[in-house]
Amino acid sequence: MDKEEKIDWHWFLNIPISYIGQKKLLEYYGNPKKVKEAPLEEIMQIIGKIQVGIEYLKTSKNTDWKKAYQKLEEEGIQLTMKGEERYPSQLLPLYDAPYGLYHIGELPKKEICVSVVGARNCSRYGNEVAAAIGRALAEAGVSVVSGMARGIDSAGQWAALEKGGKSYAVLGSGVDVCYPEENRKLYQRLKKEGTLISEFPPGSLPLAWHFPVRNRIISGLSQVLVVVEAREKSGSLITADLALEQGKDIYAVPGRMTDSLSKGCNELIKNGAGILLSPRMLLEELGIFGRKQEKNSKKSSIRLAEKENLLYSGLDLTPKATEAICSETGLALAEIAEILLSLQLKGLAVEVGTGYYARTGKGEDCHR
Amino acid sequence: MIVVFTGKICYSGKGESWKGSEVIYCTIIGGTTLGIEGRLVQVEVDISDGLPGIHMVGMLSSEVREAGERIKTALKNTGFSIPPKRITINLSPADIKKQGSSYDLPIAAAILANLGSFPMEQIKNKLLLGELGLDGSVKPVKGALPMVLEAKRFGIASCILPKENAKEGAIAEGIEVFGVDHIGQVCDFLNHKIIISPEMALPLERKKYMVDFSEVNGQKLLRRAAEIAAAGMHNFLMEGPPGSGKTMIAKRMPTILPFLTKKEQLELTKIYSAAGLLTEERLIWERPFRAPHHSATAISLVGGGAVPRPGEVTLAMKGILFLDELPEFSRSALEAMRQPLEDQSVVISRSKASYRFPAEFMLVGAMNPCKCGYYPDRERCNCREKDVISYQNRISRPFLDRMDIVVHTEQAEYSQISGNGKNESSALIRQRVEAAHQIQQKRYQKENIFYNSQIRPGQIEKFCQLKEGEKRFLEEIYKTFHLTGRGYFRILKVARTIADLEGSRDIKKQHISEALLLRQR
Repeated sequence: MDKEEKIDWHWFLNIPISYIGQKKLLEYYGNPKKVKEAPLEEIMQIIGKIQVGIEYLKTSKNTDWKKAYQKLEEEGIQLTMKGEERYPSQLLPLYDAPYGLYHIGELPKKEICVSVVGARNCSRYGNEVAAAIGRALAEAGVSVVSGMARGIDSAGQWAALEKGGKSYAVLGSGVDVCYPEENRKLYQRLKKEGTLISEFPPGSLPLAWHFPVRNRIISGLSQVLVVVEAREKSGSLITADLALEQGKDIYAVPGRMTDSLSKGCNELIKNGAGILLSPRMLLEELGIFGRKQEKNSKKSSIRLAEKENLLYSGLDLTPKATEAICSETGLALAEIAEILLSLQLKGLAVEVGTGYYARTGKGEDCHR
Repeated sequence: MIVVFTGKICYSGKGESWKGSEVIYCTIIGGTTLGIEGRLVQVEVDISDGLPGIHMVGMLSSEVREAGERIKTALKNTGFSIPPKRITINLSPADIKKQGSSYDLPIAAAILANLGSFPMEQIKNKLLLGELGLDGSVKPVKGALPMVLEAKRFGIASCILPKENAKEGAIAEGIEVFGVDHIGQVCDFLNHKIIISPEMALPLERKKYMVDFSEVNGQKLLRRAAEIAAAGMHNFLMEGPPGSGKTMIAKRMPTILPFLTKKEQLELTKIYSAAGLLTEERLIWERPFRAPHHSATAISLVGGGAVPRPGEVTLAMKGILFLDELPEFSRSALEAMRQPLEDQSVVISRSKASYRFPAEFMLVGAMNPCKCGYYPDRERCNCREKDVISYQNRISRPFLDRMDIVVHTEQAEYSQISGNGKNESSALIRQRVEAAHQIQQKRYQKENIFYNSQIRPGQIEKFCQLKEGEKRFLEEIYKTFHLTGRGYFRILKVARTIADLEGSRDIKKQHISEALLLRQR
């Protein structure tokens, strides 16, 4: 595909219409160049009277698209079209595979990818589980695909990057837009060490309808979808539906029946999703367990003193208030303070919010 | 202000040479309060020929100006006849605004003295205070104690106060206080027709506090944090869901602080007298607990107003100022408190004068972690992360920087609520706190601070020295927890207090660990 053609595609993908609109236009005209030359009234008959679309078609002729495309390249943003070799083959079977992908970083090739998704307002437990899965996958050389949303998504991706693994973030905005803003650090890191992918042209705002649409790419890129925490009506369930349509394996992390954050997951299990009992189980299912086992044996060498162990064994992935630790262990506050501090310095415990303590996934790994 | 009777010689001398007309002139001492300090005011009355009427001068507010009519009627109703002459009343010094109703009695007495109802020498070197009713009855006034104290300072021998204020005035000790309830009684007393015995101050009655720490079941963390806060007079913030004992602990904070000394009691009683909030006419023995509602304005908290009044920070002097629902307070109100928290006093400037109110108090704050109150319990809290942050951000960083101790509270479990009644009492905790206070007093006797919470950054090297091992330990913590300079400094101050509570000279690792647990995040 030559540059001229790419520039036309860039113009075409910038038309603010959904995939369906794009499809209709291409079916009628064949390629973007012809769309560009077509009269406005004719296009309107095909896609309907979409005000923003019409506005764009009218004004975009004044823009120097060659320059705009050049600017993309300068910013390190690449555009890969469906027909190209770089285009992820996993997406090809999708009936609605995106015509083009904007990305910063390399697109996934034939490697194994697992997507880790879940609630944005997740619990500490969910956060730790997502991180443990992310770590386990990264250690086994599996890439983590997710949406860089708050909560589960970012927990899984962070953990993978921390372990030196590869991670792909499929965004609901342009690849040059960081959303949500508080994930700026993760965004920067993904830009450097991972890949940011979006079917929406750079500069696109994170519109609400973008997110369910991009979910098909998340599930499409991966062999397995893991849902860590989801409420009853959750975006993660949309991803699970899409994965099901695409014929992917779905695993859900089970939860207590009273936990609202586990309702979605339990529902998935009821409907036939796999039950994920441990990160290790996921690797076994993928058939790749045992590649880097020696790392684990190193960690279990952490030895704890008696009182430390007493306190540590009382800790959970769900955060526990200092008060509760006091009454459960029966130790004096001064003593608890010392032990908690030493556990924190060892990286076995973490403070979540003011005065709440939880086990870290690191401790989990060392105890398995 | 020293009262000198120079005017009389000068005027009467002149008067005598004038056609022999009778010139009568008299001065008397009254008083006013400026802020919480008493000031003496000289009341001069002159009765001379001229158009009949009462003329009052000397920077008077309207309530003082109205006194003329009140006095005239009161005297008439008591049976004194006022001659149809020109009565001029001057209140000096003329540069302070005269406010309040305490001038009625001195003015009436000065008029009566002029008319010869009693010998003029009788009211020399006496302080008179009181408001008059139309029937001649004497009514109580605000701020009697500061005025009596001021009179005592100037060597005035005795004072005549409204009956209701007499016991309050007697608190000053070393100055005779006579209580009266009618203007006629004043006349009879000064004519030695009746005898009024000087008022005695009520004996200090140390009642028990209404609340006690023994009523708090469980809550180990909170109890410990409260004890440490009291021991170093550290400002203290509790964050937690509703019903987790925040208010309960705050209300009991005064009970674990050492009892007030006589000097402190007098200082506190003076403030309450000036504010007109003295409920019992005796020394206040208990440390105040002030809990203003979160709709409080900046002025009500720090003091101010057209006539500057002490605010909550001053009324909480030597005690606890409890701000419940801290994020609900208006930003301006909280920010206004930063200066008193730092300087332990409030200076309110007006064009005519500036007023200094003391503000040595301990701030205890309570807040929910988010709107619903249950964060980080995600099972119950459905607030968005962004909303939680914005809720907590309602309290500014500089304000938070003044909170040395921050703890998260938890709803008590059933086993704790039911309790076994074997909780430590306030008296026991107070003993330990007292010991820690004594250590601090000894350490800071050459400094102008009293408690660990007042240590300034420049003094940290001197008072919070660490051994080599502890230094390295704290360095590791500093790096692991990404502490800021201020956070580091606060941990050292609190660790110093914990060491003092234990009677340890050196700050040890366990003290630092505990201080870290109670730190602000």
